[in-house]
Amino acid sequence: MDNEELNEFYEKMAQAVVDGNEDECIRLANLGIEEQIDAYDIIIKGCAHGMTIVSDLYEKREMFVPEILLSARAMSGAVDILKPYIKTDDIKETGCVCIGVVLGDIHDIGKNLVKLLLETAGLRVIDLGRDVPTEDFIETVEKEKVDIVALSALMTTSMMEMKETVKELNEKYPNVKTMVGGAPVSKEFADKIGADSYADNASEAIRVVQGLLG
Amino acid sequence: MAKDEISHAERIKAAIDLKEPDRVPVLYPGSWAINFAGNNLNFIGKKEKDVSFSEWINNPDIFVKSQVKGCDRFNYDFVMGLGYSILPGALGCAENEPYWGIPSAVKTPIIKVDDWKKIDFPDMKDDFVKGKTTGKIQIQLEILRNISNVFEKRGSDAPFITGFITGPLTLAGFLLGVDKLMLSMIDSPDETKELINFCTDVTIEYMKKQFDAGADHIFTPDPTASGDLISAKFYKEFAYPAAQKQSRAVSNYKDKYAHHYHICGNTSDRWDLLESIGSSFISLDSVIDLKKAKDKIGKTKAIAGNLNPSGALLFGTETEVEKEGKEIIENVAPNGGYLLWTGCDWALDYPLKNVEMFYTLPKKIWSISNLKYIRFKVHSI
Repeated sequence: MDNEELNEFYEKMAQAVVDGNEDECIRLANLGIEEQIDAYDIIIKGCAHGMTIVSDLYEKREMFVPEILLSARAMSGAVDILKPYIKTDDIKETGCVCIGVVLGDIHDIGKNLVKLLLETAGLRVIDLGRDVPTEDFIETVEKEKVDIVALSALMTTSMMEMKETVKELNEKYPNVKTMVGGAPVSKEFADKIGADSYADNASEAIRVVQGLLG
Repeated sequence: MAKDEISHAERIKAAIDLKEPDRVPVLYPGSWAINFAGNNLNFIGKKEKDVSFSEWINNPDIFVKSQVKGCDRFNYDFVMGLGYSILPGALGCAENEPYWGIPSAVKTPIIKVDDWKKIDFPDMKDDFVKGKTTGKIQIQLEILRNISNVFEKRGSDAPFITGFITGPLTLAGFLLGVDKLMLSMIDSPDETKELINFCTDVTIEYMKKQFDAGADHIFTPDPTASGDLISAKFYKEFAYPAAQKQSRAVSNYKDKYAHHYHICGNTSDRWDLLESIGSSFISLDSVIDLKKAKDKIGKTKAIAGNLNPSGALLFGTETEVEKEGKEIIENVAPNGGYLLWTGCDWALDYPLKNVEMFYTLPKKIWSISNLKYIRFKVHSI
């Protein structure tokens, strides 16, 4: 394929992700392998680009969570095929984010979307899941080379757990950045609890992470 | 305590009938009411508490006393008869009851959308036996009955006793998992509607039991139908018919004053649908410009809200709570059809002085028909 054909191929993959068309994503992934297109490039320039479009459409209220999950599923279909063909040298992790829903909260859709977008943006993500106590975040920071801890909460009744976690992280690991997000959380809240940053939605979370990583 | 000019019920009904009552009606403090349990008021902001969340919700005596204590202190117009979702547990969700937080469903009872057919309709027998009954439904019905008895015995002006059921879409999310529910709306729309309809029917039966036990009113939050999660198109197709069926059942069983529908997120693209659900009033999230909502649907529907639950109430001063609340009241209360509340559930550790200010607001600030505002007499609380 020449450059023009390659770009057209990536665009098709991106569009299939936006459309949530899993069959087309799988077909294109297989075609890409057959045509010996670099698997990592297909993921970054095709799949991840598609998810960035999806994320922007969510911000504009043109796509919502069911459609985003459909896109994510379609993308996973392609990534599963492409992953074994990625050369180790290609993987350029630009940072590590430890992410989780705080203690007392089990709502993880938002967290999962942020995780997905971070991974597609080339970051290493350690997902601690939901209902995560402060100690687990601390333990992960102790063991792994974490740049950012991202905390999520959906309920007003659980968001105060963020305060505890951020406080302990700031005391013990002041070089590790913290960010918070979730329906009841605001920039004002983030400032009050001493978090380094706040993201209003999944696509903003990517920009915030990139900003924190410098 | 200074006596109000009209009863709680008259005030609420006036607001629902889109009239101006003597003052703005105000709702209960959500889950924050746990701070009235035992000696918890002295433990606000501390890690250890006198009464844990689990003790509170599982012990009708403790729960009822806390609610009555809250009413006596703040004189709000609605009293809460248990403010979290009982039905997921009754339908087979594994739940976790934290020391200081709302119980959460940690495991769904079904894996595929049409597995709902395998779920038994929950046991709704109203047969509480002190010291023996552990069924949440039975505990909640006992609470409602006891709260009702307390106010009946006093022969005093009773607040609206409020029961609780989740919106149907939210209950479906508990049973299947929210991620799966979201995808099943696209993959299997018909089966998803069947699941939601089953959930609607369960909530309706439970709602009837709550009215029979003494509730005046039912609160149905539907957070999974949030304007930040699903589009207006999906809301109309999946959430709205069920919410409408639920709401109609409430008003048919009780009356037109009996239903509070709450929805989270930015819902400005679907206010026309919310207006026609049939609820007595709608409470909206704090992300909403309530004045715009009132301009759009306030001629036919009473609106409640929407002090930011993570704003001044949480971290601000009393003056900041007053400023935030006053602005909302001044924008939305004129010409009636308005009830004061937060934009979502309350955090458990708001400082007492901020809560005190919240409940002083409707008594300090009053709107009169000619839109001129005066500082109304302050009732001692």
